[in-house]
Amino acid sequence: MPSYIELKNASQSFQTNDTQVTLFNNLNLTVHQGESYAITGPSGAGKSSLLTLISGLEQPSTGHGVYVNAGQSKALSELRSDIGFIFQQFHLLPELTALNNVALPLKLRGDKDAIKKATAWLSKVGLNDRINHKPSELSGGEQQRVAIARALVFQPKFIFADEPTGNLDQKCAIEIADILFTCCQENNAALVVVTHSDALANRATHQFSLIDGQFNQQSNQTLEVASC
Amino acid sequence: MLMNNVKLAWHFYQQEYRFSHQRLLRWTQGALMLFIITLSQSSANIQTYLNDNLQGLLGADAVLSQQQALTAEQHNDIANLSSKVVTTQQVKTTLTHNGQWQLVKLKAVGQQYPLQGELLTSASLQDKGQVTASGPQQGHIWLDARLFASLSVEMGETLQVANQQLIVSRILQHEPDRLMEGHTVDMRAMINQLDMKRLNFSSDLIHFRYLIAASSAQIEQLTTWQQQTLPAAEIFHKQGNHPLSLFWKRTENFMGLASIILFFMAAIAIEQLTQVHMKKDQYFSAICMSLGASNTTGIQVSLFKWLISLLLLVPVVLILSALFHWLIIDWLSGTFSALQWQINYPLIAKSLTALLAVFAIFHAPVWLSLKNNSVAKLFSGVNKGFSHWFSKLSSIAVLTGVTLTYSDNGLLTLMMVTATVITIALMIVISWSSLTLGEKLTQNISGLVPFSLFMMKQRLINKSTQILGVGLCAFLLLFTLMLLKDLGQTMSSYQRQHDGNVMVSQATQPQMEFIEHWASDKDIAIRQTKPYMHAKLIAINNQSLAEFTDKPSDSLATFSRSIRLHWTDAIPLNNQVVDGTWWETNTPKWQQISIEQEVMTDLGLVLGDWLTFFIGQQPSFR
Ligand SMILES: Nc1ncnc2c1ncn2[C@@H]1O[C@H](COP(=O)(O)OP(=O)(O)OP(=O)(O)O)[C@@H](O)[C@H]1O
Ligand SMILES: [Mg+2]
Repeated sequence: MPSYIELKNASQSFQTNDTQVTLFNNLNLTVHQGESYAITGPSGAGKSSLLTLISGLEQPSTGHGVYVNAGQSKALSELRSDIGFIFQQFHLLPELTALNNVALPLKLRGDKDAIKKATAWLSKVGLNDRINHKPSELSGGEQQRVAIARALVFQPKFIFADEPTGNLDQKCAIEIADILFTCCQENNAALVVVTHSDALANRATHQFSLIDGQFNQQSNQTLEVASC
Repeated sequence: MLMNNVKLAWHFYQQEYRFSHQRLLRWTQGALMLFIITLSQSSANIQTYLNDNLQGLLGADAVLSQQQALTAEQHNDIANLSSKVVTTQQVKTTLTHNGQWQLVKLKAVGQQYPLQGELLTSASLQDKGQVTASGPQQGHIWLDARLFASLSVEMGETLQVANQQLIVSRILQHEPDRLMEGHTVDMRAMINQLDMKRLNFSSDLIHFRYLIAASSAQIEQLTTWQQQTLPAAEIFHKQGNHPLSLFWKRTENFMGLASIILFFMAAIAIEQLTQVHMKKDQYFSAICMSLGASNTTGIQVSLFKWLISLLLLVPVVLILSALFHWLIIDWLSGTFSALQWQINYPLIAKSLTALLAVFAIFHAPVWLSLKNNSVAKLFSGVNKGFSHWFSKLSSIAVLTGVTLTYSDNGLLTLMMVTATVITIALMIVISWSSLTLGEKLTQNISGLVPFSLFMMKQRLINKSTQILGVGLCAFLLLFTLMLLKDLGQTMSSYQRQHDGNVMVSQATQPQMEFIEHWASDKDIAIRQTKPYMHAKLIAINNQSLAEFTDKPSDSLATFSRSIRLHWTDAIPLNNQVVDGTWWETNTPKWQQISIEQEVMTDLGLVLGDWLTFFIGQQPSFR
């Protein structure tokens, strides 16, 4: 029985000094395992914030989210061991080499083959000659690819990618998108991508846009035969 | 799960081992631990030494001294105040042996003697003193070296005292309660309390001294009790105006303050470092948690990592601190003779625990924020809210705790803390206002100066803790130096007051020559030499002593025997003329004598009275 994530009536707002910023209100969304979702929208619309809500890294101001796994619903914070998150800011550990950064989630899970698997994934994203470089010695695109490898290396059930191709050239972007969607397909994982790229968004089964706090599903996408 | 987290912590610890912030934190923590453990060990060592030394000099916390024995009721009162009371009795009597005779102070003690400090005796004149658990057995007598030599007795011979035979069995080297008896040059002997009873001295000849173990509070109670019930008795105690006890108090205060200052410095440094370290650790944990680690795992790994890094420091710190401790003691043993290197294990455990607790409290905000915040918040590193205040409050709590533990003088500590707080306030006000003023004044001049002042002001807020830290450290350092200077002055004035630290109570002309030679050889100053001859007072204003006064007194008793009569041209440095004039050189009236004020009042003498002494063969003197 496939698992899914459900956000119910979620609202997010921030209180800074005396102004309140409301990103969205009463938003409903379901993310099923094995399917792909793309979220687009202007800068500052709250896409990254939404992503942290779906992935359970942050709690909504109001409303709540559930994680339904094998028929049992749990709090979203339980989801954490099943997610791979690619941050917009990468969030690599500056002191660790690319290899150790990628091996980190495996080591956290006590995987004995952490280094071997991490090496394999680094060559998959085209970085086998940068294995022992620290993040500060890598270009923006290279760092992004390390972050992607780190998020996918332990085959998570849910993959969240915040602008995964924002810093890459077109050829590389296509390669990375291929990797993401292949991974989703092979592992029967859910993929949620936040992107400004229509090309990438068009590859997802479901496409949403977040504009001025309004969350809309792009209608025609479901009609296209675009399996993940 | 737990084991796995420990493994993870170990793994990440190794990975982080070479990171610069880790290395910095390690070095600082290590240095602090080293510093504090070495300091506490050395000071404990010195304190024990000084304490032993003081006990060896005073023999009791308090001494009650009077001519009669206490009544059973009075004895009870004292026993209620303190569980440890030891009685000694003293009588002045003459010992004879083979036609030699000597006036001695005979002291009778029981099995409980000595109360504090060490009783040292030896089997022959040449031997060094050995620690002896208690006084002589019944039927034995111990003589001090001078008496032993002047009576020319042999070990094991018997001495006749009153009608009793006593065996000379040891040489008395040091009585711990001797100093509180006051300075005398009397020859000394010691017997068992039971023998004293059999000797049957008339009770008004025996002087009773009660050695009492007491805390400061008990001493106070005792003093009040004595003033009410036994106003005639004398009481001496550690807290009294005995110069040594004053010195000891000063030392204790200094140690306490120094420890507080050091801890303040340590706290500032740790706080500074954990600020940096905390951000890193929080970020690291946030990444781990976003990659699937649960909150518990995050906290546990962070905790174990912290613990491992500290525990691995401990052995190194212990070895180094033992070494430094040894060096310090070795260096100090020049000043404090017989000071020995001694490791105080419970104290090490205590200091380590305290340090760990302090480190933990400074690091606790990380664990708290891992527990309370969502992963997304951890990334942004927000540290406002609860954990921020917790960290500030806990630092203050730690400092207060440390201050309370280490200070033994409330007023002094309060003064120091107030001074510190005022310094901080001054530093903030001065730097803030001077920067603001500078910015205002330079507003109309070129753009760069006000800009840099503005930037400095901005940085001032950001870096306030660093600035305060550096400033405070400088202040504390200065303060320590001042304290050290003060302590040095106390020590030197103490030494001046006491005219050196060795007294030779009697020396013949050849012996004196040897001493002078030896002193000039070793570059030692002889503060004072007092030539003397025995003189016996035979008349006052041409009346015999008995005719002159019938009031019994200590002085009269002293004058009934021959005394040591000293002479000198100038007033000795540590003496002072209270009344009358010191004799001038070449005065025709050369027959003048100075007498202690106490003796004058005791005997009812006035300036101008004539005293007739019997010196050698001739009577004379005024
Ligand atoms: N912790 C926070 N506190 C206050 N405001 C925040 C916080 N996080 C985000 N915001 C605000 O929410 C808004 C949305 O931020 P978010 O990062 O979700 O935008 P985005 O849609 O991902 O934009 P971009 O496409 O540029 O990445 C921003 O205006 C930001 O200022
Ligand atoms: Mg974003």
